Amino acid sequence: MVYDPSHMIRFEEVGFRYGPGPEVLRDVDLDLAPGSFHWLVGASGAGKSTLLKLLHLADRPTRGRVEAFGEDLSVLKRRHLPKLRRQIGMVFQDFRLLDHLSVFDNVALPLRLARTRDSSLRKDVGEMLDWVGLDGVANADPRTLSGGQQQRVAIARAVVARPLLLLADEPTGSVDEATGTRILRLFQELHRMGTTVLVATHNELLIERFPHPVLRLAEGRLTIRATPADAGGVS
Amino acid sequence: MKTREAEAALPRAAGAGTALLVSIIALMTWLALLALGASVALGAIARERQAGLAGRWTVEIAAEASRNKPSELRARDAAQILRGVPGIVRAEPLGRDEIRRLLSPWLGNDAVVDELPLPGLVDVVVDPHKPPDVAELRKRLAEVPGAVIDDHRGWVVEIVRLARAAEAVAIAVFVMVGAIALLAIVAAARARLAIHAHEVELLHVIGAADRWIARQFQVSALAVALRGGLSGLILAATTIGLTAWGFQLPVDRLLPLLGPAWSIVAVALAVPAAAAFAATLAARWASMRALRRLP
Ligand SMILES: Nc1ncnc2c1ncn2[C@@H]1O[C@H](COP(=O)(O)OP(=O)(O)OP(=O)(O)O)[C@@H](O)[C@H]1O
Ligand SMILES: [Mg+2]
Repeated sequence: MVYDPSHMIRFEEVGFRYGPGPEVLRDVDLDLAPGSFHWLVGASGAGKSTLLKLLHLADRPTRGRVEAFGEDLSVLKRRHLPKLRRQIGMVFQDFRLLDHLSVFDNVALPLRLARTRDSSLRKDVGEMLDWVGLDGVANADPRTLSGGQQQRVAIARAVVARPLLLLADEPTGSVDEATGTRILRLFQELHRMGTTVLVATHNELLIERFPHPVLRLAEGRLTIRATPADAGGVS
Repeated sequence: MKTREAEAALPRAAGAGTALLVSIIALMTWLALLALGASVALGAIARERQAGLAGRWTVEIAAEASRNKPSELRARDAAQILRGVPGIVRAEPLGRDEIRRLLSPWLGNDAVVDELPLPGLVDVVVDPHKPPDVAELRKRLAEVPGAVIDDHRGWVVEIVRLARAAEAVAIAVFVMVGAIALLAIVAAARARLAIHAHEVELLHVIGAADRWIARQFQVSALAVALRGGLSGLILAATTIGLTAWGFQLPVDRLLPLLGPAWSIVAVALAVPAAAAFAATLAARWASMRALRRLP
């Protein structure tokens, strides 16, 4: 399978509902250009996490069309999905760390899935933990960490395998302002290196400090508000 | 490397559930090995008996069939007749003392027995490759009153049939035990999938292929089955050893009948190995089935 790097993710009239419930997402059109940086905002319950889930290819839309890396999801064979998912790093709102694994092994997981050799895996994970300021707790049980530390483990895991697309759901929700700024600097750096970034947040201050186009979800519909310091194209 | 990698992603199977499964597989292996051992031993004994008796016939002369001639003399006549028949290697009447010895379990050793009329016996050795026709012999022996020829075939056939039936039952037990063990392993794999649903879902969404996740379940099933299988093997060996000792079975004579020592060891090891293999396949099947339901 060859995927097209000129396309990241494209949504056309996407709708999504959980089971028989109401439509959480309605007629969402979105074309995430490669190398772009977007904020995603919306009231609690607006559907941000749901949109991120679809962008992560963790679920299929109930209607509409999703294209990922040039592949139409509705016709793509199920067995090709894992490889696409491995191109996407996700920071979950609830972190989703594996409790039985050390901090190190949690961060190493995407590299193990990508069959990275042991020597370079140690180096990459070490650097990553350094970067998020957790090099001292590599062998700790994640349950013994503070919420902010756990969040940084989740971030390290999301970016360690150098994904093409980074999705982050409230990545600064559990950290102080200084750490939040550090995390965003980290995302900026990844963005400069070519990673496409989309960050869901409630933090308006952060958006002011790091100006990028803002996607807004309200009542399941997506609208876009461009900001002066646009860091990438969006349709 | 693959194993280590796979072990890293899911908690090791541990705790009461695993202990239960290990015990179930140990008991199943134990049962299977005993069933297998019993069937093989019965088959070997039946074959030995069949071979041992194939060349030996007996002519029995009823004591009360004639008043004129004692059974001892009639036995001599019978032996005389038999010696002339092609296919008979030897025909020897047994002496009175020998007959008494053979009958002592039934009659005892009292002096009164001396007074009893004893039957006559002729020990006949036939060429096992071209034995004489039994019907033909019966015709010839008709002139000796009370003579009955016994080629032991009826008895051997019965024993062999019995052994075969026991063998069939043992094989049925073996198959049943295997099926139950498989069901237990599938149930355990399902339980593990349910317990670790969150971990499995996370692995799934961050791009782990179904086969990669399934391998985790395979590895733990393999470990459990090996532990159970080897425990069952040790239990079975102990049971068989204790049985042989307790019932004073002639192990020295029986063991060689089963085949060379290495083949006994190979079969004994094959059972836990088969359990381990089947466990791996069952865990893979169960987890792949469950994983295919994820988007
Ligand atoms: N697993 C689920 N099953 C059923 N309904 C769900 C599920 N997850 C979310 N929802 C519903 O979908 C809607 C959108 O939820 P979502 O989590 O996407 O919102 P959000 O914008 O991320 O909210 P927040 O800012 O609080 O994280 C909500 O009404 C929620 O009740
Ligand atoms: Mg949310």
